[in-house]
Amino acid sequence: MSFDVDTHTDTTVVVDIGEALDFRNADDFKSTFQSHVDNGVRNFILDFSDTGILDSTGLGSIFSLYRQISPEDGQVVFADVSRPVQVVVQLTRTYKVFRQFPSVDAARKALS
Amino acid sequence: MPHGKLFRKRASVSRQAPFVALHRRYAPSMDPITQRFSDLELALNTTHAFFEEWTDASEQPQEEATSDVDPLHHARLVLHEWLANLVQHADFQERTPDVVIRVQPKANTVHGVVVDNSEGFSFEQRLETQTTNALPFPERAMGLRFIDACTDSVSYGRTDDGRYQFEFSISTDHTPWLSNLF
Repeated sequence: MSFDVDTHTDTTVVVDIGEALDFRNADDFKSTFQSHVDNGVRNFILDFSDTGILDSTGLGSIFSLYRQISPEDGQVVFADVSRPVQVVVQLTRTYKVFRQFPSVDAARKALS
Repeated sequence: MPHGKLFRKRASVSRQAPFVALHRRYAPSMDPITQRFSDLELALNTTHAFFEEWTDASEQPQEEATSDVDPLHHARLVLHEWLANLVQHADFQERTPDVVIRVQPKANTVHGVVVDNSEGFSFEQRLETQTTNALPFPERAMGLRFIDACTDSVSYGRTDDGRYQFEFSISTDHTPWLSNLF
């Protein structure tokens, strides 16, 4: 299953994470972001509005993205974070690394 | 080779959150469940479905919420990580998986048990390896660390009938915190 990606600018995209990012689809997520990284995208807005599951493998795949783009001043930001995702964010203190926005629109504006 | 050593972790007083009130009460409809599965994917999906029902039933308006810590969400994550571990790593030899999941959401506490017919593994050793060898922003090998951080108490070991039992409890006075990821 691939992820829906909406291009905001040449360097910024919005990825709809959907219902889950976990060990079952983390490789699909990596394939999805890799093609955009290869095309010059450096800012990723992750839309978690419908996400019921973010597990350790899913978070690991986000870390993988972050490791690739952060040396080039890229950003990964979280938008419209659902309660199950917020539990993982709080557990791992990743709010220190990934900025959070209340909505995708707010994230778009911040990254414009 | 079966792993007979029992791993057991108990909560210490220092893990308690000083400012967490103990007022969250679960709805009476949240009866304990016991489910048996031979299909691990089905076990995973069914477990999530139960937790979605329970969290919907227990959701409080934001202004009435007394705690940021909700054992239901953490228990859901723990069970997901455990079942994911079974799916990805468990050795069932030639046997069809036989997994029993019990979850009991009591007032302010969630207690869970997963019994399976795999060959088991050394929880303590693997957790230590994951923790000791952890690199910044790890891509893999965080599952047992998630479980350890989320739970008040955990035990894992071989039962008298040769199966393996994972058992945990989580309460509202537990502050989960997984450090050293970056």
